[in-house]
Amino acid sequence: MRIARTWRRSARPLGRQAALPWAVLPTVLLLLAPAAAAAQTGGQEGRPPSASANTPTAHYWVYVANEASDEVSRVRFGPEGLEVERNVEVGMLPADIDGAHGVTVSPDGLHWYVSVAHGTPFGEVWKYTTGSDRLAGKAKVGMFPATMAVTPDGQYLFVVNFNLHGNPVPSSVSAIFATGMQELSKIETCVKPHGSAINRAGSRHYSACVGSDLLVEISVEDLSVTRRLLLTPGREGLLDPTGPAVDEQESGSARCKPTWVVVTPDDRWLYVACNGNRELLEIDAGSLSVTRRFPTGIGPYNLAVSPDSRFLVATLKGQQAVAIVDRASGEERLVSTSRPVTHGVVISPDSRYAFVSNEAVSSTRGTLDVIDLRSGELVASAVLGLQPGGIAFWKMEALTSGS
Amino acid sequence: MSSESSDLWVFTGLDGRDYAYLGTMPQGGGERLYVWDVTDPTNVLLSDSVAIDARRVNDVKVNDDATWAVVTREQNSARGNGIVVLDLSDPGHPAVLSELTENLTAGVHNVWINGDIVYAVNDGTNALHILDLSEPTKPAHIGIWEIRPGEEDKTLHDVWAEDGLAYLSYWDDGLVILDIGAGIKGGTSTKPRFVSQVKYRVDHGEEYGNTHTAFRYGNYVFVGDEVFGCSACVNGPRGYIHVIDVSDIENPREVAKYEVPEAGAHNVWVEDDILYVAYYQGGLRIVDVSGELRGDLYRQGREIGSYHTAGTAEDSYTPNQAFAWGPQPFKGNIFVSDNSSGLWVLHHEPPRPLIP
Repeated sequence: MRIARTWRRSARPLGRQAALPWAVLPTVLLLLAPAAAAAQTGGQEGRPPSASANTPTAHYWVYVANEASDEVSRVRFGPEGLEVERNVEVGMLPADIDGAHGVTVSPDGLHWYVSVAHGTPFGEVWKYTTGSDRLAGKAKVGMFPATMAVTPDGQYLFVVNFNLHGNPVPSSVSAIFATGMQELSKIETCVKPHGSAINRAGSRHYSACVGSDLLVEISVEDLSVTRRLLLTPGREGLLDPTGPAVDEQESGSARCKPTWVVVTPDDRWLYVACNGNRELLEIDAGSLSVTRRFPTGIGPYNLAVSPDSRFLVATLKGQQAVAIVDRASGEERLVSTSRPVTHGVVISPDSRYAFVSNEAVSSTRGTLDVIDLRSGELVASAVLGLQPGGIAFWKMEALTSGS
Repeated sequence: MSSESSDLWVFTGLDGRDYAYLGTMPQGGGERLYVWDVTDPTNVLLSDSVAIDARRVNDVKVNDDATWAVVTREQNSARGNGIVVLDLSDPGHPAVLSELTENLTAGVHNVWINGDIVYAVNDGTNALHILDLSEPTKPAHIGIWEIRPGEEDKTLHDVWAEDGLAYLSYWDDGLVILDIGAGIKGGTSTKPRFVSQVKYRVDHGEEYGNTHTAFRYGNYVFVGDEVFGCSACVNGPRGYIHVIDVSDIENPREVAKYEVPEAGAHNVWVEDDILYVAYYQGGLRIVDVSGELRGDLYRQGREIGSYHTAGTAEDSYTPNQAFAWGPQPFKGNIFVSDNSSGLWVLHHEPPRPLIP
């Protein structure tokens, strides 16, 4: 079940032959069949960890947004398995699907935020208090707000206005004063911005642009675009930060279609998921240049870097799997997930577990999977609502003796 | 029903039998269109269902000769959405004939069929998208019409058309009337032209527009607004029926209203001088709209019937709570979809004059 692949330090795209051979996949699926089958039954909420060696030594909580059922699930993982503690209904019009898309937790763990994509017509960001899960504020933003990030001091929330279904015109990143939930600025960036990350220093915000093939850097202090990196294969390079947004037609046929960006804990590296051409990119945050690239599975979508910096985990939306990359060796493992359309991923602060959301298809409820990063095994799975996607880690509490 | 219900369409099929097609909501389903044989309205039979990759099938419409139907899709797994066209050669067992997602990926909330043209409400662009179904196996996107082109801040919710005019429910932009072949402004079915517009604001603790649905009958258009989350919404939605006099189509004006104080209006139908309103938690309301309409129809005692479309714990999602979605009178009966309790077939006897 281990599939090794080495990253290459090259700015050249690798050939498709380097991609995962399909013949290997059935083996992976077979090995993980018990976990997948448990989730497919739809009735098993919280399968306990599979082996004593994998027994968690802490409790972990995550929030997951269920986009098609307009609810946010608070889920706990521990020795007893996964438990959905609460489902919080969100959305403006109960008669419609408002689309709870992204969710994030403030660095101090006191609040969580959910982006509600479909308004009339503008979407909103709702702020809740963690634990009580009570509504604490709202802010109207742009069209189809999606991914969010909060500055380390908790003062500012950035949300990308994805505008997925509107005309392919430049959209924006909304900067919100999080205490009062006031939108300070809409910073025009590109066509279909998605993915949102802030560095540890709190000085830079990064977003990817599905429609423009760009990575955009924003100064948190100035709330303005400072750099733009074109990601189209063979045409990579910095663009004028004040220049026009690149649209889908201009950026060429072989496209990165970046859907996510994440910053390493030391702020030195960025990773971008190229959903369009099955690549993950490593980018030097200082020079904003591509330093490593490697092929991966079908439809890389969301990313997470483990707090110990060892692993990069990518969800493979088109392959019902996640790719776990050892950053030092470049070795990659694929782990199948319990249901298709694998969407979001976060990693626990102890770097032990990846929590992965799976949208599933049509009216089949989606799942939350827990993957042990050390063993590469899917150790728990729980059924959530419809189309779980956005996911955020809330807190970890170590088990004390007797607990 | 195994899922929450959305809109319905009742018609006589090519086989001479009567059918009610009913869409579904995310709770418990959302991926199906249910096919009910209602030839005997006292013995409704589930004939079939059609699985569609969606998490909400909000609307269904059948063309005039009952040869094909259009089903809307929202929250499709691949975010493709758009519409699905059904072949009704065997109306008890409709089959998927084609689909169209081009320019409709955000989802389609409502549609209206006007001959071979389908008007689709696009959730993303908030424009009226015009589709050519002259070849139902190859539906094609041929144009759009939108209010205030280039401006994002607008919401289109529904469309209804007849006699060369289209009535667009444009939320805060109110009721928008288009010439699609009436000969007023030179519009055609594929190139609509603006005729007129009525905007309003109503107080439900705060001010709202929220024009949600419209139905033309005689010299009037019955317009509903839909309000959730207002400070007056203590037991659910609010909103009421605005009666717009369109005898001067270029200068429409609101002349009357029908407002149930404790509930919120949803879809409407008017036939034979009777207004049927699916009034959400107020159930079905039946209103005499004969003659000239002025003022407050509710206070005038024009309501001549009502039915609380609530189900039980065994057969509904929210027991004892009506959430009426859409009405359609058909062959002397009233078909009502209730979001929680499914399909109802009701019969209303008009009040008889007292004979001393």
